[in-house]
Amino acid sequence: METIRTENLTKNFQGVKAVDHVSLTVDQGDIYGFLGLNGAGKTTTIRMLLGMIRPTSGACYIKGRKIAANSHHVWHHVGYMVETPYAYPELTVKENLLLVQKIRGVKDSSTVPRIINRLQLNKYEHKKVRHLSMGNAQRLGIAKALLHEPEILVLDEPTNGLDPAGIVEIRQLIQDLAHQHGKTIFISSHILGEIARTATKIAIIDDGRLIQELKKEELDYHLSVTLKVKTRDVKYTERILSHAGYQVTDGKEGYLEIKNREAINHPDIVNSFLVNAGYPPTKLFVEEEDLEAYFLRITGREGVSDHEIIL
Amino acid sequence: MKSFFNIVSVEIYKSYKSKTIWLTALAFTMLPVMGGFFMYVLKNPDFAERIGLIGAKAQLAGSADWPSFLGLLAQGIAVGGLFVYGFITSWVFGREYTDRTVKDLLAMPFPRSHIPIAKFLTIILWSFVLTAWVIGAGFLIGMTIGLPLWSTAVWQDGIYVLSVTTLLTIFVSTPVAFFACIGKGYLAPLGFIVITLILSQVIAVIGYGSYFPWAVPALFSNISGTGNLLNASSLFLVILAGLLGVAGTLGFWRYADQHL
Repeated sequence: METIRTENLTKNFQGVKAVDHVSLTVDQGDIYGFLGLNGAGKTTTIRMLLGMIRPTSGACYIKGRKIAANSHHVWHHVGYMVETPYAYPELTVKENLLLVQKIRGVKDSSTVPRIINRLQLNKYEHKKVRHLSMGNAQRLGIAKALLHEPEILVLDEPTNGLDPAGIVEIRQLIQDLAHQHGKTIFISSHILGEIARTATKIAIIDDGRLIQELKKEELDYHLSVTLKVKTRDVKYTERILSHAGYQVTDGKEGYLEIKNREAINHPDIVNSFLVNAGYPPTKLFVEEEDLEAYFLRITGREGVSDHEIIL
Repeated sequence: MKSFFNIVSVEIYKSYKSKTIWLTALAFTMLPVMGGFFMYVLKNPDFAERIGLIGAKAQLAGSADWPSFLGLLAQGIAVGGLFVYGFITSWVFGREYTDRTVKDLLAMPFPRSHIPIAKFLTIILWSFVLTAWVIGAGFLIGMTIGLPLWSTAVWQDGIYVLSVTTLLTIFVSTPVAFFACIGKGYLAPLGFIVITLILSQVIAVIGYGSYFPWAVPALFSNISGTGNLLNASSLFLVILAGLLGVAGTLGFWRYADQHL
């Protein structure tokens, strides 16, 4: 069942299209990974989803209701955390959560202790927020988003500032919320590996345009697989492999890359062929493209150094 | 309705837990303390002579009695209130932008206008608590000094003037909230307060104070016997400025894009 939908969502800022005709669909129980470079339009899209800014054109729907500034009835179902989480610095963690409980009209008095436990904030519940580490502030942000047990969670960079153990915890929490409790989670992250592990559906936004939206299973089909070979004479090896009908290209770091499905499925045949030709491989392995490489390939940034791209 | 009272109680709690409330209380404590000091100086000419200049300035407050003392407090609320109530308004609205907590208040299961309305109610409550504090402290200080001309009528009149001055000052402080929202913090509203404070002095001096809403509370408090300068249009302009401030703030919360 469709939970979140945008239709040709567009936002212009002084003539610049921050979001350009984005149409996406999130179904119930999806963990929807929303990927893009800084400034690609992720947060603007999320803000429009939450009614914080109005689209220039197009529309957002949550549970079939069109989102506008006055669509407050829908927010019972939604918990959110946009960009860096902030809380009232002079109040403690517990006081901040009690305020959220009160303002959201949550009656169950065990809610706050439960959420403190769930996010492992017990040690810090009486600590003023201004003294929290970034990781714990992040946990508090997620706690605030989860406090009223929403059906839909919108999380913008939820693992920012967390240490590796914290990232694993949040990943497990997200998976648990989706798989055990049927919650729908819309998550943007710059940690592509994180999205690859958790998301059931992935969307890629670049320069404001949605360039790809696909299910996790479909992603596996789109990721390219290559057989990589290195010998003592790469030029000659390339020639004989091409002559034998393989699609060979020059790869990075002196490797040859073979894209034929047959070679990928049977690298032993390629190995035997090269051994018999007198050029045995010094290295031979199958490399699967990861989400990061896929992202760079389809956004046309393949070959750009890591330093030039801040995801 | 219950949800609205929850929001109001949350706003009150946030204010109560802040240091700002004590800062404003401290600022307003200066009013009865300084007023009481002037009264004491006036009541004791020997002491006035010994301290010279301050004694000469204390003459400005008139005679040392309850009507003068309460009048002095009202004038203090009118002028100081413009700054202090404006500061409160600026803090209550501006802190959500400075602390970047405003985004947590935008997608909530109640009309977005509830938040600024709850904030305005908190400001009114806070301001009247401060006025009550000034009245209470003034009463204690006046009794300690032993000011003459005490009567129930004098006190009723004094409390009436102080309360109306507070209300007028609160009214003209509402545009501060609008500037806190569009300026996303404290700078724009504090700038607005300073400009209106200066302009109200200048415009009152050239004789048009009754047509400048921010000068009206001071005129009402009868600074230099100016109470009779006010007319119906003065009250209308104060209400208009107040309503514009509220409408602008509600409109901003309701319609403006919230980027923070």
